[in-house]
Amino acid sequence: MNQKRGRLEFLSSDEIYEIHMASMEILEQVGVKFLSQKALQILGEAGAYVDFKEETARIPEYLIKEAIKKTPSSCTVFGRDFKHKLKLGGKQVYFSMGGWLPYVLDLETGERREGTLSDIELFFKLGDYSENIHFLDWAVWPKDIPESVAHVYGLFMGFKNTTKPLDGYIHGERYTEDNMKMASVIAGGEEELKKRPLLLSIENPTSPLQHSKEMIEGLMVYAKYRQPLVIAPEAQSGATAPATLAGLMVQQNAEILSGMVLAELVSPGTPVIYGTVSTIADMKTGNIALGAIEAGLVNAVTAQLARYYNLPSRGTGGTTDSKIPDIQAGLEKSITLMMAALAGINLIYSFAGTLESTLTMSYEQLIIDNELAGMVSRALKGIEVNDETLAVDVIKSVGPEHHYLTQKHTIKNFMKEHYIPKIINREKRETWEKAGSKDLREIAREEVKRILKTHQPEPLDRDVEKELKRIIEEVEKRETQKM
Amino acid sequence: MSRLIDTIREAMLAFDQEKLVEVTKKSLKEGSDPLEIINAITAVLREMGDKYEKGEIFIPHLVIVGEATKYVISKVLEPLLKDKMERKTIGRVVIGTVAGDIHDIGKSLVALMLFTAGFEVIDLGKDVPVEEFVNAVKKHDPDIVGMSALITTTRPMQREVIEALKKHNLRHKVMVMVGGAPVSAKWAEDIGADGYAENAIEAVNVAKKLVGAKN
Repeated sequence: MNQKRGRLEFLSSDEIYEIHMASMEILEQVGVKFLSQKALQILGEAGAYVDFKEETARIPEYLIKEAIKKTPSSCTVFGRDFKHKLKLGGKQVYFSMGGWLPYVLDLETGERREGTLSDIELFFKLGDYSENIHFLDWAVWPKDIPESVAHVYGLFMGFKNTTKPLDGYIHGERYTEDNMKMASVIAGGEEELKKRPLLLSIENPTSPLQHSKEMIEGLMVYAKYRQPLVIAPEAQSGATAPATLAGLMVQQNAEILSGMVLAELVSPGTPVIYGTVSTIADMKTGNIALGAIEAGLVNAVTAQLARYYNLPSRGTGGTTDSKIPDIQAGLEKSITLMMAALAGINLIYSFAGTLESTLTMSYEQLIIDNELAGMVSRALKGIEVNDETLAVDVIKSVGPEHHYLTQKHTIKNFMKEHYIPKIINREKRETWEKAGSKDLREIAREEVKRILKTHQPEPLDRDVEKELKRIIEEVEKRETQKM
Repeated sequence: MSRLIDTIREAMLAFDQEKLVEVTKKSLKEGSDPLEIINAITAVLREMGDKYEKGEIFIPHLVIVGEATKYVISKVLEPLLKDKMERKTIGRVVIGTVAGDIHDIGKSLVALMLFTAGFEVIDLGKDVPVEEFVNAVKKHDPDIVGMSALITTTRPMQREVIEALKKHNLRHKVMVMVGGAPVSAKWAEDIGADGYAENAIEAVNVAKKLVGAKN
């Protein structure tokens, strides 16, 4: 009963099969562009039809089938405290904080500004505290430190301020290796890291139908260290994918499966997660619309396809195009999160704290989203039916006219059955007015300040911290010499 | 005393009436004074009030413990007191749901919370006619009369009771508190009541303020 499971299915199994067959046709006849000679060579040797000049590989169906066979149907990612472990696969659903956003709404002024290292630290602390958020991305991209060392400082902030599982860096081979080195310190060695993965990262194919050089290199490092790898296109219906959502699914499927073939050739058995960031392009503005209801549909069908291939899934949900934590944000976040969750996306990311199609993070929004995740988790638990929950005995003993407040059955069950909100207001009007007639954003802001003042994440082991700092110094030295 | 209060606290936090009765009887057998036990219960109830304010426990917890302590105090402990007045109460309240209205639960919750806060409570029940409120005031000489109305159409009965108290020259002797979903501070003021609360917890604060103001 405590399992959080999605069960919503939009397509019939025949329709899912039709999408699969259409993707196979695209992979065999058109192929996918891999902007890496090394990757093309590996694919060619395995049996793909490679055109080195055009940098494309046409992939026959049997290679896809072999790759699927080698990919684990579930994978587990750990936090530095192993009690935080997320088993991705089946219909399990977990929620993640947003990551790598360029901007943040300043907590004091409410103005949008560029993210800093201090923002990363504060967001990790809040994420560590937020009980309904299971996985933490790095919130913002820090603009106050050199770009070439952001990947080590960001990860350090993560390891230092939370015990929950984290995102890792994947842009380019060397940077990705730096992250693996740091994660190995936490895990207690490279072999330990392979056994208990601490980092999860995402390769975004560049739709339509291409994999960038940096992403491919990062992908190959992840495969080498056996850290779970998400392959998630950000196809936009009408712009970088067909206007029809079924067509988008066909193209996205080909993009994901082609990346998976490469990962499994580099390191057979490497955990690959079937992912998506796809949605529609807004045809009025040309902008991506992550808060669109179609994003909900794309995620629901992505979850279904992942289960068809027996792969874990990761998608978006709880996303919005609004610029501030307002009514639009509440509306779009609720509806997209509910759809992704009910469909059983295993890890829902780009979610907690994000605004503006994942351009801006908001402290208040993170706290509001923690509440939303709690409510959706309750929906996922559904209604359990058994002798205890049917409550026939207690209905009989209370009978007409009386009430249930004093029943043992009530005390025993209400906390299991009811989601008890943290910041949602259910007071009557006069009580609410007496407390200052505050809206949710204001209450969330107070809660952010309270948490930051009182919450102390479990400290890192001193020697581990020292070793991580040493790696950072090394990377800093290397990167300044390069300049 | 501190050991007694720990024992009582443990029994109360089990949210189980039988357990509290059992522990109370055992304490009596071991020589504890009934009044001391009542004081211990009152102290734990105050702690629970704080826990509720902090969001650590919820309405069902307060109600179950309220019912259990009410039973233990009135059925087990008070009969043992030599002088009934030994148990110090902070005021006497007559309470009921007005005529035509059978909504009992909210009113009973308020009655229970008032009892556990140290008031002596006379609960007239539901669908209580105007003259019964008047007679109860005459008979019990309470500090406060509390009236509940849960339907917009029964709400005017609260005014009728106040008017009847005036007619019988009793209004100046007693404070009037009103509550219920369609009731507001504005309505309370309009009909000339002395107090209004939005919920059972707030009702205790208002009642305490009223008797403080009176005494």
